[in-house]
Amino acid sequence: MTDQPRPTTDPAPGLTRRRVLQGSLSAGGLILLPGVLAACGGGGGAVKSGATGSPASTATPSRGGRLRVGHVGGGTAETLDPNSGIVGIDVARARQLYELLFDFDAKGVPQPRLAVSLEPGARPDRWTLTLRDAAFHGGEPLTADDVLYTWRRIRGKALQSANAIAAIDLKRTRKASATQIDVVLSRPIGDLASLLAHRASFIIPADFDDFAKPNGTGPFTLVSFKSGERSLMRRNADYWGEAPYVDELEQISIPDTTARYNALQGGQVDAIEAIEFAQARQIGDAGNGPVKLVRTPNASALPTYMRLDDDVFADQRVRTAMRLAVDREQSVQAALLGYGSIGNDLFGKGYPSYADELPQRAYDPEQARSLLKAAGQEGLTVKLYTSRAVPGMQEAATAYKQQAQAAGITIDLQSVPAADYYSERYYLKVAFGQDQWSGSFESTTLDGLLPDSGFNITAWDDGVWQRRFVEAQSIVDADERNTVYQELQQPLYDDGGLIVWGYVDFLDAASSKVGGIVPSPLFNLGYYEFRSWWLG
Amino acid sequence: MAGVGRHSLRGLIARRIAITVGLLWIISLLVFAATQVLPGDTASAILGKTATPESLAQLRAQLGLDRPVTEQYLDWLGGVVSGDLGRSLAAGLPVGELIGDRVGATLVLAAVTLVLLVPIALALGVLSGMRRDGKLDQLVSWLTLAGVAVPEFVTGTLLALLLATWLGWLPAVSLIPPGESPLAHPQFMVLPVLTLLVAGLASTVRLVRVGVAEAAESGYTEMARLSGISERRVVRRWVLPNALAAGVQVIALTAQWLVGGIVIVEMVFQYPGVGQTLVQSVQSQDIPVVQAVALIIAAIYVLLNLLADVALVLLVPKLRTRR
Repeated sequence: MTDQPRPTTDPAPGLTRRRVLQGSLSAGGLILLPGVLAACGGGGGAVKSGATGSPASTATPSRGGRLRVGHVGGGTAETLDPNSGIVGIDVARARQLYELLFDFDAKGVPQPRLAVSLEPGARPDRWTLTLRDAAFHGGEPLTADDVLYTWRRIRGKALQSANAIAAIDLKRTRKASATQIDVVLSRPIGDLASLLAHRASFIIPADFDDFAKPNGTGPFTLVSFKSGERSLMRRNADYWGEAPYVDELEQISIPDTTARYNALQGGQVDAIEAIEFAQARQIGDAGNGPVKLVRTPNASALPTYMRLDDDVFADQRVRTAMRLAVDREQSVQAALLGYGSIGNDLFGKGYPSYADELPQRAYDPEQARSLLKAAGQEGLTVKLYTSRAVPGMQEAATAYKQQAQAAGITIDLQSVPAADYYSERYYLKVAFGQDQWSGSFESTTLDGLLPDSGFNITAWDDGVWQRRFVEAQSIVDADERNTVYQELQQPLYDDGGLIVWGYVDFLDAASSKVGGIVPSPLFNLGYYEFRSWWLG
Repeated sequence: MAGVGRHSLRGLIARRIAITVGLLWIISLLVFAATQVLPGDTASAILGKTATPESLAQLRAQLGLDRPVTEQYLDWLGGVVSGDLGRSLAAGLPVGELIGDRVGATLVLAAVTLVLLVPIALALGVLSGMRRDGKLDQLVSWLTLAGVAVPEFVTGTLLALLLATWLGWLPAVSLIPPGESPLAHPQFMVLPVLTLLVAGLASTVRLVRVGVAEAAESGYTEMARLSGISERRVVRRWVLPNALAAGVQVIALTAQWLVGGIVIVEMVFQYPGVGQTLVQSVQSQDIPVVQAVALIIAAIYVLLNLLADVALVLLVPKLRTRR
């Protein structure tokens, strides 16, 4: 249980962008998703694209048994501290043992979990939070003190969710009763629930510090844990909510993708996260064998970014030309073997705030050529930084290079070792590069488009736009707020620096006897909601 | 003819040990240097994409990475000599505590493989070497050639596919429960050992075979045969002793090769050994663990070499007199 100092600069409230944990990448301050681990070799193929989510669940729910899940794991860095886990398996364990005040459903909408209600005051900088009648594994009832202690700990130690709850004024926020808190914010925020659903803001009991002996309110209790190897949990008999179907849950770290896949095929585990494109193709979408594919569409965006403060990309016509020079359909086939969908130069596809109405930008090399001519950049040569840091990235760059030739654009590929791609030498330093982002429009905006964003990859600095966004954040009504968010995407679509050519799916697999899996865009394996899974 | 006495034998061994210590020191330098030139550093590995110049500087200061390299090296070396391998940056635990069990599991895997491999290699090598170009020799030649040509991760994957996925006889992945000895779960050892055997036998059988064939066709055995000494006695008196000397080298070579081969096999079968730890630590840039594991593997390699040298000197008198 590490209390290793892990300064985080994660600026991301709510859903945030995540990075895929792939071979040579390593732990970061953000929680790393297992994501899609694929060693794909290019070359398109006739794969059904756009097939959605979960294979049909098996028959009717049944109780009992031990569910065994193979995770990517995080080696010795795995921790039981629910507020500072880094890798996917940390999140997966914390979600069984502890709970959040709000939790995102499969559509990315926050739903009350340990909270019963969250009511705004006259202005949305004051809220009343009411807690559920729940108890910790040790028997202590959940109280306002526990929540306040958790928030103070997260902020004081700058843990994962510190920035998500940065707007809470902890000095003026007060306990109103045993189960009620008067929350005071430093500025009005309409969607406080999303911030309280931040993936590592699990509620721990007041003054708790022995994380080796977890004491949460979650549906499972811990039996044993060895970091980097496995853990065993048992159903929490006193759980306040709907009890898990399975009696026991075993989570095993199997870092090697082939070994993880073999373990599932051989029946040593019942489900695995993060399979390769080629393995997904082997299983097939039909899912009538002993193993089925669990596919989550629109899981994360794969953008190519252009910095607006670069001499060449400062010209809006050049940016549009670059966006028209990519053949999105072909890239999804070539780089993702069809396990993805095309993008429209915006983040947050699939979320309620996504601007669905904007026309889909298509491959048009002729138009690109004439735009470049008008900008005096005919026969443009640019250098694109690429890497194998994310599966499909380098293949996408290679495809783009060829596609852009038709518009008279020469793209020189500069390949960077995967381990170096996100180092300070390259990341946020290059004018034309690739990346991977997840999350809704609003969460990715907080990360990348505001003056205090840590990851402004496009150097976006439209002050008027930024003020409008902050104003929109204070709207309490979700529909009203989303309408403004959608309007705010038009300028990004027209003038932004992103070429979001595609979205890659999460690809997981499970034994066909496992039922109840509901894919979620937040994390692999349906955001690890194991309490609703059963063994047929 | 001075120099055959006990004194010089002791001197020779002492000299070898001195060389070994010197080698280990050079290795410690190389390991440290190698971890310094890995792309990125521990701080940027821990912070990943979230790194800002301020947070990087802060973390580097906390980890002591902002000190001069020589100071870091001397600190580390001092710790190693006094048995302190440092602290894992990822887990925050002492490295020794972290990898103790895993070193044990790896040694068990290596030992079981060696115990099976040596007699099989000697038997097959002698049999095929004695009848060079016979049917058995040709079969063994082909098989070992194939074994040498195919890398362990391919052999392992094929064996897993055949014996685990298709036939379902064995578990594909060695999920040994934490804290338990691999020997208590033999079903999890079969595939890793088998994979190591296939790869290991290929090279060792070929080495023994060449040694035996050379002895069997050399002038002195020819002479013995011509003198009317029975073939059985020729083999026992001249061929086998010479093959035995080759055998010692083969064992040493195999043991050394095992140290490297195990890293790959452990990854393929997720065997909870020190090789798996090495790969993971390189990925997470947990430098103290990388340094400790690399040094342990190198030390085992060098020590095996030393043992083999000494054993050889004891077995082959001629070597004791050579200057």
